[in-house]
Amino acid sequence: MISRKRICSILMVAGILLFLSTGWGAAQEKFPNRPIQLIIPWAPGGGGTLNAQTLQPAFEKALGGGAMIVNKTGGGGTIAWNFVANAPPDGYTVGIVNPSLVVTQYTTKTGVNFKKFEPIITTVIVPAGVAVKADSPWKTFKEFIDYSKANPGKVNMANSGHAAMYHMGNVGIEMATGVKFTHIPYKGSGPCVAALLGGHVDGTLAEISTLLPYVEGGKFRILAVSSSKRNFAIPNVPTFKEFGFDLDVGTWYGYVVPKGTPKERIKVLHDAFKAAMNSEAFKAFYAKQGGVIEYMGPEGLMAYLEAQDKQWKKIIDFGGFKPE
Amino acid sequence: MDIFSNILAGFSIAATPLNLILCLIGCFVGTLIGVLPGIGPAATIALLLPVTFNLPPASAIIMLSGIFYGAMYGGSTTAILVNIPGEAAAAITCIDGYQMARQGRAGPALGISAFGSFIAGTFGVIFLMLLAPPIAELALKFGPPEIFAVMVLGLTILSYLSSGSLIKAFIIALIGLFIGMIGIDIAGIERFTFGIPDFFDGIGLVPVLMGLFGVAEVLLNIERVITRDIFVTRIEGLLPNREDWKRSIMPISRGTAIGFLMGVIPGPSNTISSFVSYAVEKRLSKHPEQFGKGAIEGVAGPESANNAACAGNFIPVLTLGIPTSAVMAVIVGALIIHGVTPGPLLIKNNPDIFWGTIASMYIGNFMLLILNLPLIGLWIKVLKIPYGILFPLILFFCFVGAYANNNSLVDVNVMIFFGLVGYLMKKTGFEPAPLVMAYILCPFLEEAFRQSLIKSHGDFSIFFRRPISATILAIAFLFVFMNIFSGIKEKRKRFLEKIDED
Amino acid sequence: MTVTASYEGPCVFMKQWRLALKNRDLISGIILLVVGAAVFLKSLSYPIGTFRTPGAGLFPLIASILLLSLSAILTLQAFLSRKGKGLAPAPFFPEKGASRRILLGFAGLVGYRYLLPVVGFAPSTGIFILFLIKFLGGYGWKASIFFSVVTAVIAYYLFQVWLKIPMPLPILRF
Repeated sequence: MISRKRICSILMVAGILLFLSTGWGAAQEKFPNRPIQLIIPWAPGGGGTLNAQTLQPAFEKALGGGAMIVNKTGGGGTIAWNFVANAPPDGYTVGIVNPSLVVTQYTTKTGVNFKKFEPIITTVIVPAGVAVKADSPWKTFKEFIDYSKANPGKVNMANSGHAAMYHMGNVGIEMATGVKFTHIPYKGSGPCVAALLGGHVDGTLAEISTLLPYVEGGKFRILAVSSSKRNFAIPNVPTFKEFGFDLDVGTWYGYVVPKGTPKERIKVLHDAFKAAMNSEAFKAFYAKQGGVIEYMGPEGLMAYLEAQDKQWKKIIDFGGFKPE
Repeated sequence: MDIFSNILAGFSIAATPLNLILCLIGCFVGTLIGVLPGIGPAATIALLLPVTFNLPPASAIIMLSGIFYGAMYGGSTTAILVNIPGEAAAAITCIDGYQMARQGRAGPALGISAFGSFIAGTFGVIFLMLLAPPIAELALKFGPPEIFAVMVLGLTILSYLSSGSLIKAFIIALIGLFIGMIGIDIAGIERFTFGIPDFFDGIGLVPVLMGLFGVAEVLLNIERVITRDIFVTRIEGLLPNREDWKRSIMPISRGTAIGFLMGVIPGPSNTISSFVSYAVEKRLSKHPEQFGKGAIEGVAGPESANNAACAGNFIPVLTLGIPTSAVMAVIVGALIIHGVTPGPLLIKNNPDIFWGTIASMYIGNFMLLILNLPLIGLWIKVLKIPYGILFPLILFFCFVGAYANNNSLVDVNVMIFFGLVGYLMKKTGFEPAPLVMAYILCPFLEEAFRQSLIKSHGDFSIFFRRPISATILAIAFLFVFMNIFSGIKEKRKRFLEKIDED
Repeated sequence: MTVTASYEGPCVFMKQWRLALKNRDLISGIILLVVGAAVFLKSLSYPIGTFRTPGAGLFPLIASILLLSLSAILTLQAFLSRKGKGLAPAPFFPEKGASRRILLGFAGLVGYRYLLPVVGFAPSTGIFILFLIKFLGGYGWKASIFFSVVTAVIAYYLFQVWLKIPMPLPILRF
C-alpha cells in the first residue's frame, strides 16, 4: 500500500499547487481580467444608473471584459464616492460622478474632494430648466422673475434635495437675479414633478429630461434653460445667458477612478467609454432626453471640475450653507 | 366601448407566446425573491433590466411587473410559515398567519392568502383599467399636508394592531420612530448615527425585520428543550374550508378597496394599506379577541390589500409617469431605457405598453395563483422538518437576508441586536408590529411635516385648512377617541363588576 | 408585637422590592425613561430651528417628550400595582437551562458573524449550523455534521455562485 510518507508528500505538493493557483503569484496580467465595477451613488431607475446601463453593452464590447453596475446609495452620493476614493487604484473600481460631487464637498461632512479622483471622461450634459405649470400666469422667465422680485418668499420652488444640486441651482438664480424664493425640499425629481403637477409648488428647477414628457403633455412650461446654447429639444426656450447670467447647473455625468490608478489602465477605460458614447443606443437614448452628448477627456474633465468647483462654491457661500 | 376594444388589443399583445413565457418567468422569479429575504423586487428588477435590452418594451415591462407582484405573493409565504416577512407589507400577515401555522392551519392560511391576493389583484387591475385617469388626478391633490395626515392615520391605527396594552403599543411605536430617524435627514444632518457610515442612510429595514421577527421568534422557541411540537404536526387540510371562506369574503372585498385606493398615494402605501385593512377587520369583526391568535380575517384582509395596492401603484406611473416608490422608480427607468417616455402622453403614444401591461397583470395574477397553490403542499412539508434542524436554517436564512440587503456585515450586527431586542420585547409584552409600522412611516411623516411647515411659513393650521388633510386627521382622531372611550368603558365595566362582587 | 414588626419590617420591604424588580413593566419602564432622556438630550444637540424652518432636532425632540411621558405613565402604573401582585409573576425563563440555551444561540449568531470574514462563507456557515444542531438541536455528531455540510454546500452554490452575492473575501482563502 502507499506509505504514509508518500501520502504526506503528495498532499503537500497538492496543497502548494492549490495555494499558487489562488492567484498569489499573479503579477503582470492583462487588464481587465475580471469584471469592472461601476459604482453608482444613486438608486436604480435614476439618471446615473440609466447612463451606465445605456453605455454598458457597447462599453463591455469595446473593453473586452465585463462591467458590473453596483448601486451604493446614501449620503447624497457621498457613501459611494468615499468608497471609490478609497478603493484600490487598480482600475477595477470606477465611479460615476455628477455636479453633486462638487456640491456635497461643501454641504456635507462626508463629501469627497474631487481631487481624490483621476477623471476619465464625461459623457453627456442634460441641462436644467425652470418649469412652471402650463396654466400658470407666467409665460416668460422675465414675468416669473419680476413677480418673484415683487413678492419675496411667496414663490415656492421645489428642489430634489435640501442643499443638493438643484436647491443650490435655485439659490444661484436668487444670487443672479436678486429674488427670494421659498425652497421646499423633496426626495428626488419625481416628487418635485408630482408637487408641481398638483399645484403644491409654483415652480421647480430640474433636468429637462424629467420635464420634457410634461411639456409635451401640455402640463408644464419651461421658462429658461441652463445650457450655453439653446437646447435642441426645446428650441423656443431661452437660455440663462440670454438673461444676462450664466449658471451651468445642468446634470453632467462623468466617470472617475481613484487617484493613483496607472495611466495605461485609465486610457483603456477611456477608450472603451468613448467608443460606447458613439453607440447608436446611447445617442438615441439622449436624443429623446434632451441630453447633449458632450465629450471631455481626462484633462478636460479635470478643468471642468475646477470650473464647477468655483461656481458652486460661490453659490453655496452666497446661500450660507455649511456642512452640518 | 372604447375600453373594451383597447383591452382586447392589450390581450393580443400580452398573450403572445413570448410574452406569456416572460410573464411566467417574471412571476416565478418574483415569488422566489419574495420568499428570499434581503433581495427585494426593486433590486431584482434593476438587476434583470439589462437582460431585457433586446426585447420589445412591452415584453420587458410585462416581465418586470411580474417580478413585482410575484414578490408580494412570495413575501407572505415566509411570513406565515416562519414569522419572517419577505416584504415589509407582509409584516402584518405574520401576526395571525404565523399563529395559524402554529395551530396546524398553515395550508388554509397560505391558501386564503393566495386566493385573496388573486381576487384583489384582479379587481385591482379592473379598477386600474376603468378608473386610472380620474384617480390619478385625485392622487395629485395629495400634497405634504395630506401625506402627513395619512401617516398620522397610519400611526393611530396602531391602537388596533396590539392585543395588549395601548400604552406599550404607542411606546414601542415611538421607539420605531426613533429608529427611523437614524441617518441623514432631509437637511443633510446626521442623526443618531454614532459616526458609523453604514448608518448614514438609515438602518436597513430588512435587518430590523429579520432580527425582530425571525431571530426573536427563534430565540423564544429555543428556551425550551426542542421537542418536535413547536408546530402541531397534524396539519389540518391544505386549503381553506367553507367556514374560512365565509369569514374571509368580506375582508377580501374591503381589503381590495382599501388597498387599491391607498396604493395611489405616494409612500409605503402597500404596507400602510395592509395595516389599515387589519385594523378595519379587527374593528368590524364580531370576535376581535381572536385577532392575534390566528383569525383568518387577519390574513385575508391585509393580503388582499397589499396586492390591490400593487395595481394602485401603477396608476401614477402609467398615467403621469410619476413613480411613488422605489420599485416603481425602477420600472420608470426601465421604460425610459426602452425609449418609452413615461408621462401624461404614455396612453396616447404607447397604447401597446399601457394596455399590454394591464392585460398581462390579469394573466400574471392568474399565473401566480396557479404557481402558488400547488406550492402550498411543498411549503407544508417545510414545516414538517424537525425544529431542531429548522431553526438553524431559519437563523441562517435571516443572516443571509440581513447581509444581502446591502452586502454589509454591519447589517448583520443590526439584525443580531434587534433579535435580542425583539426577544426582550416579547418577554415584556411589547409587540413588534407597531415598531415596524412607525419605522416605515417615520421618514415620510417627518418629511411631510417639515415640508408643510416650510410651505406655510410655520403656520400649523395648514393641516386643518385643507379639506383632504383635515378629513383624514379627523378620522385619525376619531379612531383614537373611540379606542380610549372603549378602553374606559371596559375599565368601568370591570370596576362595576368588582363592586357587585363585593 | 411591635418589636417583631419592626424586626420584620426591613425584610418585608426587601421582599416587596425584590418582587417589584421582578415586575418587568417596572424595569422596562425605567429603561424606556433612560432611552427617552438620552434621545431628548441628543436631539437638543441638533439644530432645532423654528416652526417656520423646522430643523433636524425638532421632530426627535417632540417624539422624545412623548416617549418620556408615556414611559413615566408605564413606570408609575407598574410601581402602583406592585403591591397587588401577591404571587411572584411568571418567571423570566420558563424552563431550567433556558438562559444557557439563549446564550448559546446568541453566541452562535455572533460567532458566525465574526467568523464569516475570517474563513469565508461556506466554512463559517457549516460551523454555524453544526454548532446549533449539535448543541441546541439535540442531534448527535454524525447527523449534525451531515446536515451542516449539506447546508454549507447548498448555501455556497445558491448564494455565492448562482445569485452572485459578493461575500467578504476571507483572510484565509478557501
